[in-house]
Amino acid sequence: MIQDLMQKIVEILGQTYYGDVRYEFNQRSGIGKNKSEESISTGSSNGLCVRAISDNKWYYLGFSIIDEKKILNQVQQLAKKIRNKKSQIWLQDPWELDKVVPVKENPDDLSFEEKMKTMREIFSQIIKNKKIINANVGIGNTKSETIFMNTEGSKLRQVLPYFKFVMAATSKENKRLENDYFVLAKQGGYDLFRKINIEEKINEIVKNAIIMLDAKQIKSGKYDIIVDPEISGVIAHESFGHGLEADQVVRDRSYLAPLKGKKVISDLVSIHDNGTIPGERGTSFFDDDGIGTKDNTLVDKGVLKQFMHDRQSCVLMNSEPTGNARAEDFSKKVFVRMTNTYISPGDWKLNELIKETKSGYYLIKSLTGMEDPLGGNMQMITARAMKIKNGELTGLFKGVGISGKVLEFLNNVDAVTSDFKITGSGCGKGKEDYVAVTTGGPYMRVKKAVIG
Amino acid sequence: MKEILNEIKKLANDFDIYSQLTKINEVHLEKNRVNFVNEVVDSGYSIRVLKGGLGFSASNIKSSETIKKTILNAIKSAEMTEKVKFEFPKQEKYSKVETVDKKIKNKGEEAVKNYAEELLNEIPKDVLLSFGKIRTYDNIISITNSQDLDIKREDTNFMVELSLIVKRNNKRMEFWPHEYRRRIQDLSINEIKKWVKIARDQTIAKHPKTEKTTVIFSPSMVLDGLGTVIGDHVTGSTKVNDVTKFDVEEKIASEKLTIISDGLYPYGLMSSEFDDEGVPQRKIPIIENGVFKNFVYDQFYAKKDNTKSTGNGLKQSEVFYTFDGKYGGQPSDQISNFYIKPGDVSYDKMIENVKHGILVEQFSWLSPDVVTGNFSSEIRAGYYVDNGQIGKPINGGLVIGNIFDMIRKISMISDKSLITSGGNVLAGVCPYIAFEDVQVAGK
Repeated sequence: MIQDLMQKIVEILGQTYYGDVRYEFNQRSGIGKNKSEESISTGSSNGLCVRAISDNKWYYLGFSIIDEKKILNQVQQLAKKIRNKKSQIWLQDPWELDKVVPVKENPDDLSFEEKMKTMREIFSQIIKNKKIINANVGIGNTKSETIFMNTEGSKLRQVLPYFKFVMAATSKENKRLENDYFVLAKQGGYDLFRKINIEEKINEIVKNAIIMLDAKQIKSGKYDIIVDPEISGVIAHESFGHGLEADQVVRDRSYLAPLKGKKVISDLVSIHDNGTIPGERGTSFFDDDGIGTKDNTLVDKGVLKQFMHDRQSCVLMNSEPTGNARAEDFSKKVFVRMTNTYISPGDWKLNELIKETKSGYYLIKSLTGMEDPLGGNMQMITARAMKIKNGELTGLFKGVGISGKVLEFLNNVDAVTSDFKITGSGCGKGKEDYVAVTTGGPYMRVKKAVIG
Repeated sequence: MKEILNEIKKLANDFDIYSQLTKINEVHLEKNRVNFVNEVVDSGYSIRVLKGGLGFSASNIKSSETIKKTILNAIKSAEMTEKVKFEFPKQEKYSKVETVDKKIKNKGEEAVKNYAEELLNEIPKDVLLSFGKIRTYDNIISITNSQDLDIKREDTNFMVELSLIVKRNNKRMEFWPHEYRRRIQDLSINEIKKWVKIARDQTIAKHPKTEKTTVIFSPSMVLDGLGTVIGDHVTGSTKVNDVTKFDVEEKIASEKLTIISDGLYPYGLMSSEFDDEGVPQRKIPIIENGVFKNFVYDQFYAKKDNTKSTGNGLKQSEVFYTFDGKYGGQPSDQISNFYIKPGDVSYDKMIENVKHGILVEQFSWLSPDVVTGNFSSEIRAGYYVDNGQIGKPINGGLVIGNIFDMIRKISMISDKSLITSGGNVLAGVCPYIAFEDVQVAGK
């Protein structure tokens, strides 16, 4: 039993100021198809992360080879070396939890044959149109188990089921290539796939890939824009949220550090990071510090309410942990990370918003985004855009970049819809340390945004 | 490996086994002090089986039960996928390639500690090292297959990521490099001095104005821009799937541009004696004087296209190690080190030749659409170039373009190509490149 080894490790770590041990076990399977290749891929992995803090310095050991004698010997050496030196870290009463997120229809109960047959059918439907020259279709699931024990006496276990379906269409005319895709990434089972209106989604991506062959370039400049929920979510997460990760504040690297309690953006905008939404990718029962996750209001009606914390940053900033301590895996450091981050819905309807806009652009789908926690600048690429003229959508344009300062951008929000959507994806802290997250929000109208 | 081999021989006729042992040592710095020390050992394996289709499964668990399950999963996956024309490669003679830094091999802990100390000594007092990550990788990779191929290689990697913050007149600006190398000496302290200068200059940076002008990309931006898009369109899979923009012998770029997929470049980040299927790596001309020459192939797409593997059956990346990292992914046809042949002007002369333009040292993230080549990226650190001299620093604004168009409008390539790493593409050996008539969207 891995728990027996973990208990022995925790006992040794008792010699230090604080220590914990986390065991991860993942089982995954994926099926993919494109014009030239079919693949079925399966995998399993485990890892053990042992951590201890002494004199405010973290010491980690990571193992994928579970050799009890070697591990205990190394942990003993570490504990002896670092000893029990006081550190500024949140300590709390022990708690116990054992939670398995139930799955309605386990993808692993379906045969590879059945799933591959479905992928082949979808592939065939996508490439029926002559202008579509290739399609990529894939489905995958991962069962992820985490066991956590610490020197406080906490004993925690959670099993989370991740599910992903993606399909993409590539169009070609002469030498011009375009594409569009659909992705569903959540926690759950194959029932999530069955709920998708596949035909409708295929028609959408095929149509978009084809019409983009005629899309033109927008002349860069300042325009009134409407952004869709995907873009709202990426703004909430990349451009705004990373500056609220309290480790960035501790490092003197957040433009938002002096602004707590102040009105920083439009009072139409409220932002949450909620690690407890059932079925979403960023959801868990406890974080990698062994702290329970919760719904954190980051911005309430334009006022900056709080930062996201781990066990260390909360003490350094006279706050409490928020359940945002996350590591990519057993080999990586635990950082303050977001979970499910979104802008709350408002009162407008999308059709009203378009109708009430005299001139501007409607931006659709976020392709990439990057954080700038110190500068608060935006870097984001959208997939496509439509011109708005006298309350109507007219010409189609290529995707654009959104630039400028995020506070100014969110201060210029003058309408927020009740139409709301969140989307599962992944997030790095910089260019590594990827974790599963969800981002989302409403449609928003933003005055005088810089795009190009 | 022996246990896996014994077991697989009982269950399959055509197979390969890839195994990897990685030792990682890491130190993090925060506000000029060490706050994190990490030591990791990870060892995993992947199995491919040919049985009608080509099946794949991977694990880092070494129990007999998991090994057998992993093999059976690979067999099942082969049986369930469409029949393919494929064979595992035979062992060949391999060129010796420099991939190991003796300062890292078996000495990772000491190496990161020493570099951290040296770095802390070099950071000037007016510069805040908000955070720093220093990491070494010490890898041993073995491949064996049913064609009696049985080979092993070793390599090392080194990673530095820093946030350097400078304050002037209430303005705080950052330079945020993130670089990989095979050897520590290839990220010397001199490089850090250059990064500190860029961070300092950013405190007086202005927003650029909107115009079409000459834009010079630094080597790592060249890699992220050209490497991302061209790297994708030169693979055998894009040819077979008809999603490449290139045809062999087609003029696709300025005559000044020559690109090689160089798997043998000394201490290149993707260099190795053999690829991740056991085929010798080599130098493959991609673009010669603006003319497209060759696609790169792994075993799978070489067979599909009735040709031979070019030794480009590479796993996702060698140094972007993740939980189910290199051993967890299948080899695919990828460009090796993205080598751009140096041009004929020195960097200084290149600047001298520009009457008006912009030099971009760093975008916030240059991530062009691989299919269309379009990009629109925010300038994180740059300079105006006026009358042949580096001028005022600039920050913010967008550079908007299309990589396929830009490679036709190259006016100068500097005469030194440097080992570099990017955010999207791991490995490059790239010079500075000046592109003409590029759209900048600013004030």
